[in-house]
Amino acid sequence: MQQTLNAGWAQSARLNGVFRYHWKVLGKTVAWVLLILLASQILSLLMPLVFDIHFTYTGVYADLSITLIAALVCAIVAAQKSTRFLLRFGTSRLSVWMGNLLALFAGMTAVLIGTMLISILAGGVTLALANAMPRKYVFVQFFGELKGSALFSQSLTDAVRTLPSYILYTVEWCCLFYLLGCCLRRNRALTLTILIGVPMLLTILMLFPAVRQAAEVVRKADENQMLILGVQWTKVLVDIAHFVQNEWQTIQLGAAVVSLPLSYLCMRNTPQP
Amino acid sequence: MQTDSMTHHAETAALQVSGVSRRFRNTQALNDLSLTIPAGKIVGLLGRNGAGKSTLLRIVSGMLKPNVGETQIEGEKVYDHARALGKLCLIGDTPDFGSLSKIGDLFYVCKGLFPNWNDPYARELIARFELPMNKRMKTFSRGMQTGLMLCVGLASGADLTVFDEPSLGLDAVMRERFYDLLVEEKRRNPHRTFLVSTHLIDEVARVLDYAVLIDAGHLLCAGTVEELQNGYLSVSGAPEAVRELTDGMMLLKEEEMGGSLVRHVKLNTPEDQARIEADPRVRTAPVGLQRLFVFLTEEKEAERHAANA
Repeated sequence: MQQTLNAGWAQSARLNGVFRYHWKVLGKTVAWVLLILLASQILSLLMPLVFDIHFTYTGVYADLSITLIAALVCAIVAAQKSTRFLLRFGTSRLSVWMGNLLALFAGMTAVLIGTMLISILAGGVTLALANAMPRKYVFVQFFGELKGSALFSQSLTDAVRTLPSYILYTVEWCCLFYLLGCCLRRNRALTLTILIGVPMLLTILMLFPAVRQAAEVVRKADENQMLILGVQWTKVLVDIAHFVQNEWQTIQLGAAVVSLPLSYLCMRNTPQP
Repeated sequence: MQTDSMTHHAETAALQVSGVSRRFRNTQALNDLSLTIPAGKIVGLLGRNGAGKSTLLRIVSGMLKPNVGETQIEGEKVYDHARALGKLCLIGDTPDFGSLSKIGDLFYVCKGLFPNWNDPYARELIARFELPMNKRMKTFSRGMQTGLMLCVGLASGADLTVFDEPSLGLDAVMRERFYDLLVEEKRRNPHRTFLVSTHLIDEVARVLDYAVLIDAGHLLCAGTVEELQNGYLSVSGAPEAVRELTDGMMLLKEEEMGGSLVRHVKLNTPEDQARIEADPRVRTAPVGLQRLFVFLTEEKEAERHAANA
C-alpha cells in the first residue's frame, strides 16, 4: 500500500540527502577556503611587481595546518548545525553520523589536495617568473642546495609521496574534531572544563612533586642535590617527549579509532531540540 | 472511539504508540499514552499548550527516546531505525534551514532526503505561498519561513507527514490556503497520512478525518470526528423549546444569540438525538470539536481534582 515500503536501507536512511546537504554546505566552505588561499597566493605573486620586495618559493607542499584548522571548524559545524537540521526531518542518527563523517573526510581531503594543487600552480608560475625576473622571484630550498626546476620536481615528488600519510592524518583529526563537536553540542560547559581542566590537572600533578622536591632542596641549599634533581627531572621530561614522539602515530590512530564509536554514542544520546 | 483503554483498529495503522511515558525532571510530559493512527487520514493531534503534543511528536519522529513504551510506523520500531524513519517527514514548529541559503538548495537536499519528493509540486507550492525563489531564506519573515517548511512537508511525499503547530506565524489567508492544500494533497495521494498538531482546534477541524485529543500527557479520546461528536448535540431555537427539549441533559455550554438560545449538550441516550431533531421548533448541529475538547478537558480535570481530594 505504501510507496516507500520496498525502499532499500540506503534510501530509507536518506544518505543521499545527507550527502546532498554537505555538497551544498561543506562544498561551499571548501571552495571558499581554496579560493581564499588561491587569492592570497596570487596576491603574494603580484606584490613584487608593485613593491620592491622579492617572492621566495620553497617547494611544493600540501598544507596540513590549514586543512586541520578547516577540519576543526567544519567538524564542529557538522556536529551541531548540520546534525540539528538533518535530524529535524526525521533522519536516523546513524545516517547523519555516517554521512557527516564521510563528508568531512571527503571535504578535508579535498582541501588538502587543493592546497597542494595551489602550491603546484604557484610553483609553476614562480618558475616562469624566476626565469624572467630572477631578482624578484627566488626559488630556493630551505635545507638544501636544490634550485629552480630541480627543486620543483623534487619537492613535487616528496609532496606526492607524503600525501597518503597526510590524508590519513586529516582523517584521524576529523574523527577527533567530530567527537569534540558532538561533546560540545551535548554539554558545552562540561566539555570545555574537561578539555582545559584535564591537561591542567595532569601538568599540576606532574609538576607538583618536582616543585616540592626542588623547594625542599633549595631550603637545604645543597648544590649537588639540586644538580642531580635537575638532571633527574630533565630525563623524565625527555623520556616522555621521546615516548610521545616515537608512538605519536599509534597514539593518534588509536585515539581516532576510539573517537568514532564515542562520537556516535554521544550524538545518539543527545536529546534533539 | 478510542479511549485510554486502547482499541485496535482493523485497518492498517500508520502509527502506533504503545504505553509511552516521558518525564522531564519534575514534569511528567506523557503518561502511559497509547494510540493508533490509521493510515491514509488527516489526523489532528489536539491539546492545550503543554499537553504533551510536541513531546509526543518528538518521540514519534525518533528525536526523543521515551522512558517507557515504544512507537512504530507501519509496524516498524521508530527510535533510531532508519527504515521506519525513512517513511516520515517531520515539520517542526521552528523553521530550521541549517546552513542552506536558497530555496533551490533546500529542495536539492530534500530530493535526496525524501524518496518520493515531488519537485514540480514543490515549486508550484512556492508560487501558491507567494515565496521569493531567489531570496536568502534568512531574510524571510517568520510566516514565510513557516510557509516554506509547509511546502516541504506537502511535497515530501512521505507516507507519514507530521506538522507541529503548522499555523504559527502564518496569516489567516495562508493558514486557510495550507489547509486547502492539505486536503488537495490527501485527495491526490490517498495513501499519505498527515498528523497535524495544534491547539487551534476550530481552525483545523474542517479538514480532519480523525482526531486525537490529549491533555496533561494523557489520551482524552481518539476517533473519527463523527465518532467523537456522537452523543453530543448543539440545539438552537426559541429558549423555551430548547430548554424543554434539553433539560436533564449535561450542559456543555449555553449561549444566547439574537433572542434565541443555543445549548451544547451531552445526550443521555441515542434516542434523544432523533427526538430533538424531529422537533420543528429547534435546529440541531454537531457540537464543535473545540467545544467538545474543552468539555472533555474540564471533565477530566474535575475527575483529577476529585481523586486528589
